[in-house]
Amino acid sequence: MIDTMRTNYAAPLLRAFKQAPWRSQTQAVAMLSITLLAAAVVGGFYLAVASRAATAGRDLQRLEARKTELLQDNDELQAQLANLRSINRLAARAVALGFQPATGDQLEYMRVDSYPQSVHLKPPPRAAVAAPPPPTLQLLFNWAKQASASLSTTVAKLTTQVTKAGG
Amino acid sequence: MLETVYVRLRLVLLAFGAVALVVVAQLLRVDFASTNVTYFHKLSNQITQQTNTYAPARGRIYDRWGELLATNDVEYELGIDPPYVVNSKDMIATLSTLAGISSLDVQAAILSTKPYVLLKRPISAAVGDKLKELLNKGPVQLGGLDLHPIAHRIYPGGSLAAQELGFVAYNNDGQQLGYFGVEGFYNDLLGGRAVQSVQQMVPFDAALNPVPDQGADLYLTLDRNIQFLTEATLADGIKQYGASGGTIIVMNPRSGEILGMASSPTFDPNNYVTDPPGNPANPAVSGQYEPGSTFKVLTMAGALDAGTVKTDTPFVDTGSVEVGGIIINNWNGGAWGPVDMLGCMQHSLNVCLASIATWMGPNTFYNYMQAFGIGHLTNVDLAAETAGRLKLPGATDWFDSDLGTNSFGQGVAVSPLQLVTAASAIANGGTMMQPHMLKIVQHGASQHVTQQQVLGRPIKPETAAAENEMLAHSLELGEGSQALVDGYRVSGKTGTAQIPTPSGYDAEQTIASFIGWGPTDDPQFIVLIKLDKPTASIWGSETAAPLFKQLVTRLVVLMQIPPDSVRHALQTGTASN
Repeated sequence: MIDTMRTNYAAPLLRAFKQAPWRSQTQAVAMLSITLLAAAVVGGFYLAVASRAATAGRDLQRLEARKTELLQDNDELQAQLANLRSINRLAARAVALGFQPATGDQLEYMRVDSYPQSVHLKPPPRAAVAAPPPPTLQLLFNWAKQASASLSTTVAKLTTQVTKAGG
Repeated sequence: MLETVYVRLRLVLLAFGAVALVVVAQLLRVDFASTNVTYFHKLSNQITQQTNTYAPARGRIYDRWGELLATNDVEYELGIDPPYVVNSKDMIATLSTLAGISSLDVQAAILSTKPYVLLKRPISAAVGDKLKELLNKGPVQLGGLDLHPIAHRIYPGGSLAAQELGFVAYNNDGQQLGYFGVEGFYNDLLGGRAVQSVQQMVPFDAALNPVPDQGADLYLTLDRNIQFLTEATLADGIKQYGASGGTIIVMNPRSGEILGMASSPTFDPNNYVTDPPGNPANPAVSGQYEPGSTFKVLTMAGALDAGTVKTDTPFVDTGSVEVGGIIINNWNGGAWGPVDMLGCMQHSLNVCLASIATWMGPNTFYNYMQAFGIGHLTNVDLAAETAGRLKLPGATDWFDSDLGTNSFGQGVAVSPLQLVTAASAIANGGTMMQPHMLKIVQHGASQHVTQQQVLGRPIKPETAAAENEMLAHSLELGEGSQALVDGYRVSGKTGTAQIPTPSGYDAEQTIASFIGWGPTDDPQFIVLIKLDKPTASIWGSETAAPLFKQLVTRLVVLMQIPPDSVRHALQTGTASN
């Protein structure tokens, strides 16, 4: 009997609840909020990635500029060295120090086996070449992986602390 | 009431939706359907992208031992961005004082409506650094000044090997281009290749700068010490004998490697802008002259090789001979009576050589001259080479008399390098090697070594040996004895050539020359000395020959060639020490 009464009262109440005008409004607002939240999350995510990329880009530009400066400095130093080693300067310096060109009668020749040896120029050491950067998607994936790992570590620490406090 | 609000809200939403639709439709139209789609894409790219060009560093040039002959440092390009100029007064005063640009030019640049005005290129690193410091730290306000570093070519040796190296200048686009010499001939190798990259500015996305294809480094066959000796000797000779100019070439006859090459007047490639050379071409390869008696070594070689004469063939010199209707006399107008071929070369008898040429006949004579490369390019790796001039039978300007005059180096034009290359066949057992200047190309980690190439075999080895000995002996006995070097046996021939003018040959001025090589039994160098219009003496035997001795006395030390006696003792293992 009581069950029948419950059924009789509950059905219209449930119907009234479902058909209440404020409920459909709430649903619409909730949908809108979720959409906005999702858009905000995506937008924020995009902004975070873009700002990180821009910061990295600026760093890269600064380093490239520094590299160019160092290469220019290197060129200038090599040029200075070449000027100091120029034959005109060396000849003048030698004369100033009292040297004079050797004449044939001042030389002594002796036999040295395997002399002169043929000269082979060695190639210069290769500069370290930076590995090409991974594609953007991979960068994003790496970042997400790092963030996830960092979050897991933090959660694990907090769990440990809570357990200890509880114990 | 609530109903009305809902209706209005829907209307507003509808209006916003319509506007959004219009915007989207317009965007689609601009992107795909517009007739100006290319223009809009270009406009968009201009705003969101930046194209950068990365120029390669020009390759360096070294001598055969790795001593730098040409390298790079930095200079600046100076310009103004007129919209960003902060203080015109400071700008005008600073630039006119430091950079030497006239106040009017600076003012005109400031008032320009262009976004950028180039004021000066290049300006030195010292001035550029000073301006940079003022721009960054004050006290003057130089906002709007644009200083852009650019590569600058420098030659540490100054004028050393200037004509062989050439120089580098900027073209209208600000790119470096090599002119003359090695810089001109190997410009593509040295210059490398620039690359462009597009950088996304909106959103900003910087990437690593692309690496351009850098210019290759070149190692030349030149020996810096021998080059210095060659230039110093030439300067000495010009001063000592009052010549107006000259050329010296030192080459290895076995390999064709050019060890030293000097000509005067020369220039400093570091200052080609402020002190432009009158003629930056290299007279050793671009200049041509009538070689005179040094050419007789080729005539004699051809005659010996063809079997026309032998070294002991007798000849009676009567002092004159008629060839093609003209009378040919000896250099001193005298008659030497009975001589052999050695005597002909020893006394440099025009009559004898002209007679030999007529015995050979024009076909044989000119075939040999062409085999020696006369009238042809040697294809040396230096810019602006000349082929000289050899008139051949059948040509409208060839006459029978040319056979006689050509035999002793008159009426034929050669470049100094051409003569050295031809004579090197006698020094190198009948084989002419390709003369060259490049030894090694180094591009990144890879090296390419130039292979020695045979240019031709104009005469047989036994002919070369016979004439080699004949020329050594004739020096020991004859007019070229001032070329003899203590302790070393050398072979060679003097030359005194008249200078052709539009109205015949110059009666007073000559080109004095000497071509020689040594040691005679194992030639390791061949040297041509050429002095233009010497005033101390017109004769090659009194000017070029002693200069040859002066050069070779030092050259053998630099090339570590022991005196003949020591060398023979070392070879047989009987040296005292």
